[in-house]
Amino acid sequence: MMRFAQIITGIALALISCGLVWSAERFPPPDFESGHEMPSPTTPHPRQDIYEYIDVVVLLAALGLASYLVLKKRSRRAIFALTVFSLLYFGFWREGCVCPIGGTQNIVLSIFDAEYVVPITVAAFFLLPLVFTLFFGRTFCAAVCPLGAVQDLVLCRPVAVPSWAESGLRLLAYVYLGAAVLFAATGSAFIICRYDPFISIFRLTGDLNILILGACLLLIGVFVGRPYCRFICPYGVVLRQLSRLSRRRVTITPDECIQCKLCEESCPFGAIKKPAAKWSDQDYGIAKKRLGFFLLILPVLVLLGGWAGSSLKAVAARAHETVRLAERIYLEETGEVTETTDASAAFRATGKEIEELYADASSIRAQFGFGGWFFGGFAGLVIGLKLIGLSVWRQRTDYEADRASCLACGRCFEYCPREHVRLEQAKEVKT
Amino acid sequence: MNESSRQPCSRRQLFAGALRYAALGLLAAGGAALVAKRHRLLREGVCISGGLCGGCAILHQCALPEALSAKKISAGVHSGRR
Repeated sequence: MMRFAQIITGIALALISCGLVWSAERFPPPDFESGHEMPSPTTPHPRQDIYEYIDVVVLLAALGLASYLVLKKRSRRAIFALTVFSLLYFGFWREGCVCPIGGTQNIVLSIFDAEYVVPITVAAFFLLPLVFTLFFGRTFCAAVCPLGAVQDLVLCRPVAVPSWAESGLRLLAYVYLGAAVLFAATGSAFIICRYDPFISIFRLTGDLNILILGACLLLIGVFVGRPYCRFICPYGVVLRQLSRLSRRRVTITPDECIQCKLCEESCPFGAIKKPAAKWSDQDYGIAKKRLGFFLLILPVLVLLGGWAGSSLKAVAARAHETVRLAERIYLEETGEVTETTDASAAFRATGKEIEELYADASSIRAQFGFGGWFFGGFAGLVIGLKLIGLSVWRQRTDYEADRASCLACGRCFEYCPREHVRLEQAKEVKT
Repeated sequence: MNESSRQPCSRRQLFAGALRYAALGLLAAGGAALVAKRHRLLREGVCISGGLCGGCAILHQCALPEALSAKKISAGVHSGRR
């Protein structure tokens, strides 16, 4: 029944989206004789301030309700209903903006740019899910995030991803976070927003390539549970770490695990950990040596990553418009190109010194060089820590939801026989 | 007193709890710093909307020249004058 409702909702939303996207394309933008290209909108129209505060209140209420439904009520059905609401409200009506995922960049820019101020509502959108995660786990991912919601709706035929592939693919999210921070800190680009795969679907317009990317991710999402959330989402990286510290967390069973193994295959996100048998002396010896080796190479990985990140500065700096302009002006000055662009003509019209532009570009490249060390070092550190994690044994006596990976969707609840006993008892108490 | 509150806290739980409140403190300090920066820039008369008056939350109380101009144009449009 639940699966049927999911499929019907998914198909309905897809059809509505396709229809509206098509209708938007019926009125093509005019062809400018000057060769000017119509810029594609990147943000929705500004809205009245009061609505932004209403959005914060709705976010707060949704987070509170999600936490209650996941931890107290333990109802997958209710979580699903809230997921649909979040998709409609934060996704289609709110047009996916502000979202905490993109808000990360505003926060970073606010730290590095002395004159940039992040709006209070954006700060609230960024901070509230983090605070809730610290206390209740990833309930934001469960039913409030519209990006997660749209993927959850299309998940019909989940297949298990091997743990080695899951671990490897998860590195993408760390690299993406590092890159997003680097580009935001240098004031070059907000790559999370620019390459948000579902924003075009929510806004029913936008770049065709991004629309195709979103459609592909949704197609993959039919078989692989929430691919964006698990392998790409940069905000998810932060939530993963905070969720490890959460005060309350999802428990598969409401009281005690009877090791019936029914929940083993219930999680489409591979977040249920089996009981871990104690290692044999031989395994322990091997793991100890491996741990020592990985601890030794950790600084090497950090340095190597830092060097690699810094080496990319010339390429990465081209994301900044000043660097692009300086390179264009250089080509025009050296006669390698004869035509001018709108940007280079506009620059020349300002009367600004070319040397000044070159100096600015050089300064930005230096920033990328410096930031590249941190970005690459961070990537190296993450890889090193992943390897170290392979050599550490963690005691587990029951089937447990992994604190970091669990998206708190509540699918595992109904697989637990103890949960059914609890529900029966609750019914008896009511009658 | 319930069952869980009687259970002794393990070293791992204690460590996680300390980290949790440290993270919470960090988030609170970060949020306060953002608000303080906003107030400081407003006090110094710096535009906090990157020069974009459209959609600016504090346009009605802003006295920067661009804002005064924007408000004048906006008032003209609303009263039917161009």
